[in-house]
Amino acid sequence: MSQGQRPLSPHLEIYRPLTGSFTSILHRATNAALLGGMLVLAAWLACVAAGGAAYELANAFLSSFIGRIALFGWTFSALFSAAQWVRHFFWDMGYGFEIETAKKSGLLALVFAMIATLAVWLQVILRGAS
Amino acid sequence: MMQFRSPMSAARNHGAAGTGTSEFISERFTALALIVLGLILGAKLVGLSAGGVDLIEARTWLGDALNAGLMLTFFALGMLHSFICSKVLLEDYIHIPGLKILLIIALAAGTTSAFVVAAISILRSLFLGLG
Repeated sequence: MSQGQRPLSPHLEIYRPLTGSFTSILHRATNAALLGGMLVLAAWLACVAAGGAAYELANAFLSSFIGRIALFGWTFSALFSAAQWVRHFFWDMGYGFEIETAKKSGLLALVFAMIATLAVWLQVILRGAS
Repeated sequence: MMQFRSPMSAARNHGAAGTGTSEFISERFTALALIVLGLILGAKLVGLSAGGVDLIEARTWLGDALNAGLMLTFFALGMLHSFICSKVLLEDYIHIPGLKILLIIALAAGTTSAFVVAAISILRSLFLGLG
């Protein structure tokens, strides 16, 4: 079979923005973000072990504006990915495929991830202030 | 030209006909384990991050064998999960066969290296704390 005739995975541009496609695409995007996050976490652990200037550099990056935005994004990505996997667990067992149910669980995953992210960061800020 | 390979042998080991099942199960088992580990580590780290983390705090935290063990397990499963999930993205969206394989090899090398770096660093900090 030649390259051009193969069925392709769905691409961003052919979707109408629906809950199912949006959560699926977002899950894929958060996966890529979390891979980056794990690499940064590995680098941070190496800096903790090395100490000295390396740790100063890591700390400076993470407490910078870009660093904070990235940490916030990774928190959301982790929480959304977790919620999306819970949906997958139900689908794997054969539940939740009805269109209305799938829509509701998708919205629930999104709302959960947003609220939980804010709750985590509120906790961090409150503990930092006290 | 004569066909010597049966359709079955052409399909075997490609997706659903072959080793895909174990990958499917690994992907889900690591996801479940990471949710549990993430909750435990998240709860511990929110407590740690009060007022920023300095080097001594970070090393003291990793100097606790339980924390170091949790972090090491999180990294082992996290890198495996990241590898499987990111491989799906490469398989789905890179359509040049040679490049696809090269990127999957690079992904495997990257995730393995990150795990080794993290494991050595965690153990180094653990032994600094114990020392």
